[in-house]
Amino acid sequence: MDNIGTYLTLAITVIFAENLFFSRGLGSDVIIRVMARPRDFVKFGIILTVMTVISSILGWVIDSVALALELPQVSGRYTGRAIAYLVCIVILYLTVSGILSRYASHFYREIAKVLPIAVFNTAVLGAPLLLSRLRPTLLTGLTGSDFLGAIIFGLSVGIGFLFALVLMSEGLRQFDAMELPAAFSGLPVRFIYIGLLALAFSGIAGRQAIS
Amino acid sequence: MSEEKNPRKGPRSKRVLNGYRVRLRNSLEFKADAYQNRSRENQMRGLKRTTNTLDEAEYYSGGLRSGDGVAGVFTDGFWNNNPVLFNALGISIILGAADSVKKAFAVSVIVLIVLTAAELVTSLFCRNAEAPSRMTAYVLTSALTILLIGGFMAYRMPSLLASLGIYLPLIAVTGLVTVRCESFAAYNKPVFALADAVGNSLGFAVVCIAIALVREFFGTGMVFSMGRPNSFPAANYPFFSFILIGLLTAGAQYSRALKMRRKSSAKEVSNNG
Repeated sequence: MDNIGTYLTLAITVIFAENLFFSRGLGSDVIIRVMARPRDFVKFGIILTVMTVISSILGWVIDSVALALELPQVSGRYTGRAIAYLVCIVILYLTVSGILSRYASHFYREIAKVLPIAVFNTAVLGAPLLLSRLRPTLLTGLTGSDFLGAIIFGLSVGIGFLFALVLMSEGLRQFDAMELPAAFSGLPVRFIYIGLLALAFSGIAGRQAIS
Repeated sequence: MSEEKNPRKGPRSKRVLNGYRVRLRNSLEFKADAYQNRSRENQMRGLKRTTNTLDEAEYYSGGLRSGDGVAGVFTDGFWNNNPVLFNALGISIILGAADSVKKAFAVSVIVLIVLTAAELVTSLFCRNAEAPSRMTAYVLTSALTILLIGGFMAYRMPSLLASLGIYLPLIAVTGLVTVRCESFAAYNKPVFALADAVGNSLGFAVVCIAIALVREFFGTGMVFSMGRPNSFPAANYPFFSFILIGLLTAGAQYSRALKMRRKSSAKEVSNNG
């Protein structure tokens, strides 16, 4: 019960203040693509959330193993670990798509269009990388194991992306109804809208543009 | 449109491409009324193809804009269908790693190596493979390449590696690698895949270095250690880069529309003449 406050702070920080999309641009490649397809983005967001939770858990396990074995850091601080996470994600993807296509082919056909882009993107790989970076600072208030913290981190990252998708899909709907200059219609207006949202989010995080 | 009606015409490679094109056209909801209306309005104003949302379907189908052959593929990737400006690929890398010209240059070289390796492997070995195994192949290829680059950098330039941080491994799954492999290299010969990889990475490099120049100038007041130190921290925040990329994209779109208009008016003149 002591940890509830810490978990809540972690969740709010990750969803709003340090939203991975607005504060680091992770996953922007796929999000900018998916936001134009309102039918797909809920499916995409849910799969992405599941994947960030799984990848955070995987990252936590790999980090713990690396800490326990005291592995030497061969190639940079993050590269080796990131490749380990990525290999795990690939194995997971192959297993899941194999099982689904064999035993639940109808469901698989429904999600087949969004599954690959929801699995192989910078958000799913970025979540465990940032978790291992934040682990010493964000999760210090915890008295017990920080495994639950990792799960909550992954969940909040996914919810943060879903939140960003909803915000941007709504914005795009508004832009469709507007008369925009031809040069700005399409991608440019999306980028500028995301930039303004990111500016607002950096305000929530308490950053100052001029110091 | 005639290709859609007769997907069985032509050699086998073209048939496969046509089937893929039809499936993608059905899957992407590019027939949304709003976009159609807007593009009709733009056509009336003398502008063609101003919305990228419409173009996406054609872009994925692998249709070329700059003519056939290796040179056409290269020009398409480098400028006419620039991965960053027209397709929003590799944005997270630009946001994270392009805050100084040196880092931007390093990232561009890494992207060139990784994209070339991934596209070549996809085109050589996975042209007839199923989607999951193909994806595994190119993601693992790029991961392996990045592992080798990371090892080399840890040995020769550890400070640059530390400053790239989490963004070096993220190159392996960035949209630049996955979308180019999935949409182009998986359906084309190795020569074209090589041209596409080089063109796209050079196109990425140009935009990345341009953004890094502006960000470094505003962020530190100095470019290449010239100028007076002066700090405007907003330049290092993501919103600055997002808005900068938006403005660059608008400029590119404007120049493309202008080019199209010039081309169509030249055609009209030649038809009338």
